[in-house]
Amino acid sequence: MRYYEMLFIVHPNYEQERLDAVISSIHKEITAKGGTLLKTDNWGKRKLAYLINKQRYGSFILLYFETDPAMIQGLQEWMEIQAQVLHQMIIRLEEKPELSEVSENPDSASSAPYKKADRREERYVKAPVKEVKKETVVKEAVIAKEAVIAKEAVAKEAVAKEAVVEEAVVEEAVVAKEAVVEEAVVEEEVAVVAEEDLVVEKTTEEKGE
Amino acid sequence: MAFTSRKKICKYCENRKNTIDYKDYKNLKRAITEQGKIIPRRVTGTCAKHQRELVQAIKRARNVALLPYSYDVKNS
Repeated sequence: MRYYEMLFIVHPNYEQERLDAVISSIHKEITAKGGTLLKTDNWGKRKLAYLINKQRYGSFILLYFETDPAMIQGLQEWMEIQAQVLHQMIIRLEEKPELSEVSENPDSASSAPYKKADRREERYVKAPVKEVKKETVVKEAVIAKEAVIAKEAVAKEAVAKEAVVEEAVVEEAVVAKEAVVEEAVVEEEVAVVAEEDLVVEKTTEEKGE
Repeated sequence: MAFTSRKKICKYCENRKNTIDYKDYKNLKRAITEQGKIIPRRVTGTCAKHQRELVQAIKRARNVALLPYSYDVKNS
């Protein structure tokens, strides 16, 4: 028993019901000849690269099946007779095919060219490194935040200290002003009461005391 | 650079794609000319192993009308 893959093109004028009938008839033929069906993939109607039986379009159907090699020639001859099948190709697979539920239609969006796929792979390869970096970044951020918090605390303390200092400065200023005022007063008094030396002396002595 | 040519690297070896599938006709289109001819490996730099697979895939794709045997350059 070997694995085979058959791609055949059905006449485009066949609508869904008759297409299903054709597919089921081929299924029956394969099973009748002792094969087992693995997968049927309908690609739908697509344009042909060249005309086949004067037709521009065709419904592509891909079949995977397992069967005895001796039966293939008979199947091929039988397929050639079918008028509704424009063309058919059977390929022997060396290994068991990886059957997925996804359609293998080359026109579907999932089949991307090599280059794009490559870039994606590169991204996947690079992704973990980035994650590590992110973690470090996060850590750094945490450290930075802590630093900021610490700084704020320090700043608050500093502000508080400054406030205290300011208050002290203000007090000093007030004291200084008072002193100035006192001096001014003293000077005025000196100026005004210069003549009365005794009195001035007394007042200055009083102030000094 | 007059007498030295850059060493060509096989695309399929680089991509590490094990099999070249005839159903993947969009990528096979890169290996054929405007007229639909298969580009020789002395031009593309494909390795011998992958060129054999490529040729088989292109011929299969032509058989099932995924790729043309020839493009009519004059009329298109």
